[in-house]
Amino acid sequence: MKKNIDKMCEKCNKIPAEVKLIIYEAGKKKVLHLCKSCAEEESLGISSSTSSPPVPKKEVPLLKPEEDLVCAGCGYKFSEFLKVSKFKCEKCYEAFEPYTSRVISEYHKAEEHKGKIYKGIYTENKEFKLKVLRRALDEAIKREEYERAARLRDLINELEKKDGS
Amino acid sequence: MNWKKKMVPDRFKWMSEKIPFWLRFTSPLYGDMVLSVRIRLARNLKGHMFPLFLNDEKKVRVFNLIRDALTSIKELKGLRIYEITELEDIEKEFLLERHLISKDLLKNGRGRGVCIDMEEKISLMINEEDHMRIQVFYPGFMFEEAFMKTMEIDDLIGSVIEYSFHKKYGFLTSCPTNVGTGFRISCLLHLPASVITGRVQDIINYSFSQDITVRGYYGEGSEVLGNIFQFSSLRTFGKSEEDILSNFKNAVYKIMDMEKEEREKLMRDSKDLLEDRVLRTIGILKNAKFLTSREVMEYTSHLRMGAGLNLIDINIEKLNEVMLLNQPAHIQILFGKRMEGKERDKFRGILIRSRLNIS
Repeated sequence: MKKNIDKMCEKCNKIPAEVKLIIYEAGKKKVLHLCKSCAEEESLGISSSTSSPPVPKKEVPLLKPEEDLVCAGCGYKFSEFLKVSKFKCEKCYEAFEPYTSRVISEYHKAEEHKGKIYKGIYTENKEFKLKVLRRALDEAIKREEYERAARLRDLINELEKKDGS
Repeated sequence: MNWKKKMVPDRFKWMSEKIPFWLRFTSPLYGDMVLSVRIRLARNLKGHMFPLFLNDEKKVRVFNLIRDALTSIKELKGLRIYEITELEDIEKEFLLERHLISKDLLKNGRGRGVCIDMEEKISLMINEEDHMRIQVFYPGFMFEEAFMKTMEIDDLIGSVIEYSFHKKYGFLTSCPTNVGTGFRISCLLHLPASVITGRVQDIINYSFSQDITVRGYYGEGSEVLGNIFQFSSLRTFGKSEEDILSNFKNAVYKIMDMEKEEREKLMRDSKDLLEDRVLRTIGILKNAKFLTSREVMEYTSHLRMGAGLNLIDINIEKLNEVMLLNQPAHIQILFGKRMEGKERDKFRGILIRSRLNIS
């Protein structure tokens, strides 16, 4: 009698298992005894565990610094990044240097971005930014902060050049 | 209250009744080999943590921000926006079967969603691994059209939402494997002859040498069904979008040449066997009372190759249609009725005979 119970579908546990499904999970082979409809769902990759062709997967290369790094933006630690290979916020990229650069160049075999350059949000916001910058420039000149004024002028020129992009 | 359980929600009725743009047309040349092209961009909002680290409340905030931005773009009018928590299981499966969302999007929690346009050229996933995954789908060989569309949408959205962008690293993403362009191009290829002769291993090895990964019909972690493989570019950083596109396209041409060689070989050495397979398939489809979706994928593959080799006269778009509609959630939404496995198998038979006009 016990044998019969064992032969129930391992997923829904309601219908006797008819199908033996071999799935690969993280490169490991796993055998499941399922009823037909569960096997169908399973093999379509719709339910939680899925079968996949045993294809080699590229992993993010691992590195270990002597001292853990912490992102000032979000408090995330480099050691935590190493566990999941995901950054927590945009500031993590710079916070984890020089390891960020190594992780990225090792995976992508490249040193810097060569694609589309993001030019920022649209004119209304550009006008807003220009207004803010021009006011700051006026103030800087009034206060005779010439170095800062030069920097602001550069920023304004840069922003104005973005026109028509 | 039992009747309610049997009802199928009709939110996606509008979608289930039509075939998405990417499956509706096929190129006369190799139309049976290249099913579709997909381009995906990963984009994040400046000043917000990546979604995997956001709690529900913050995710909802990002979701609303993106939704408001999208509705403000007049060129994107007609996008329909769904939050995942408002969907029933069968509807989530329906979107997966249509390749519009990924399984990762379905993980628990609020503030995840998807925007879809009427033609299903665009699917924009919100708060999956990145704040936005812009996906564009085109049929067959329409690489350039898909590319232009993707860039256009990216510019439109990027002009109302400030993206997270870094001078050295480009568009910043949660995972360093997507950083830079955030650009990934994939293609569904039907390679039955290479599977028969075993050449498919060469194709997979060649793809890896070209920084292209090979996956199953439903993408990452899924199985190859009906001899359809998903090829997908791997590198996103250090190369421009145009270069990634052109490398990928060249590789696809090469893979198709390999498949063509195998088809010619089979036609030369074992035409009878191929014909037998096609005719047997028609016999089964004509007479089988029950058909599983796995079987349908297999049989449509035989017919698709048969059509490609002029062994039978069958409309490839009709095969696409059947491939789409026979899937478990689709068949239930199409017939407006919740069904268990066996019942679905029966309706599948009815569907196929009527759509392919074989009886």
